[in-house]
Amino acid sequence: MKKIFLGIGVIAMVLLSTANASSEVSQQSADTAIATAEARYGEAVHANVAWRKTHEFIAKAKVMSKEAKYQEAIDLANRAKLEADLALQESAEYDKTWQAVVVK
Amino acid sequence: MLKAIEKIIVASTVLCAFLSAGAFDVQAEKDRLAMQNYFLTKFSDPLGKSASYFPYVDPEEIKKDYIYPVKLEDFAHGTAAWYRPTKEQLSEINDFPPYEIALDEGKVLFYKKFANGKSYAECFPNPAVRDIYPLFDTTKKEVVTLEVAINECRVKNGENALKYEQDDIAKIMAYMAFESRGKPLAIKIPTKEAMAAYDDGKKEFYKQRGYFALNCAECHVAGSGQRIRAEALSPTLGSVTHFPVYRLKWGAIGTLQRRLQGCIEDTGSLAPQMQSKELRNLEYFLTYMSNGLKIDGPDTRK
Repeated sequence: MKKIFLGIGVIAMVLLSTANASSEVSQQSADTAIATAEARYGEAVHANVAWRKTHEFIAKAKVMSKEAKYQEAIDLANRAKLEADLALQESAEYDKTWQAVVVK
Repeated sequence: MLKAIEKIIVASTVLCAFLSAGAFDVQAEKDRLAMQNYFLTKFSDPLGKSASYFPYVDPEEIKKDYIYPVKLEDFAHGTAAWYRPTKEQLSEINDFPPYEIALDEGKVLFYKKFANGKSYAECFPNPAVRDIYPLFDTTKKEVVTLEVAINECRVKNGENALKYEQDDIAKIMAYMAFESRGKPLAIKIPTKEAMAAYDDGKKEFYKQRGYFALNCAECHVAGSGQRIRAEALSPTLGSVTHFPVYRLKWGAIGTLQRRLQGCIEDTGSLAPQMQSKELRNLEYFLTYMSNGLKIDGPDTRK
């Protein structure tokens, strides 16, 4: 009987430590994703081309991360980064084309 | 003989200075005339030119609701220049203009003494200066809007600068615009740096932005005279003459840059800060486009 309880205890400890480890990894991933998104968004703001909702996604991602909803946080941060990427890429394109629509 | 040569040299120097000063606005003048010509042509016969300029408008609506041909000076009235329902609504609203209280308060604020006993009148002996703003300050090498000049006056007299979002600055502007009514806009491009600022503003106007990838011209050049749902889009030409405006949506009087910020946000873009270089340059370009049109601010808008 003792052996059974000991076995259950060991398994429980292993499971708990694995869960903790995976949660730490997720939090780290979320933090990294948020930091990456923030940096890219900062570039877009600096270039005066940022989109209107991007900062809201970053703010929401931070809230999600605090609430240990790491996957949601990563998804939102990735969306924010995508928006910042698109804003910068498209702006570079528009820099080449805007003169075509000037009234002549 | 020597005197005659001296006179010739002086005259040619003055002429050269005059010509070179004028040279900075050559492209801007071309742009302005092209803009005027576009709108005069577009609104000369909207029904006959509907395929070119109004492809999304029902011809019956043009017959019923459009006013045409629109004269150059009438573009100072914005959408009311060409759209009968707006003209009628505006006329009814302005029987008791909602901006009147702000205008009265603006006059009081303008003459109210600062702590040092002076007032805005020291900086603006004549409050009717809306026609020359925004101007290019050749010393600072940047565009100065009337709001910035008002705040510079305050700071020079030991007062705190007003917040650009705050009501007071719009009220003072309303009084100054009212005093300037009837004066034609006369924006100058005095130097190479001024032309660069104008060009920046022009790019701000024409460059696509935001998640809708719109530029200002999409709605206010090509789109003007058409509608987004129930809203008739105003033309760029004359778009600045009536500011500041009492906007029903705001329930208050507000400045041109407040409206520009809202417009930019509608494109899905983060708007530049109030009185940022971007918005000042955009205002410079927009106002230059309306050069020659008479100021009729303050006014009321939806």
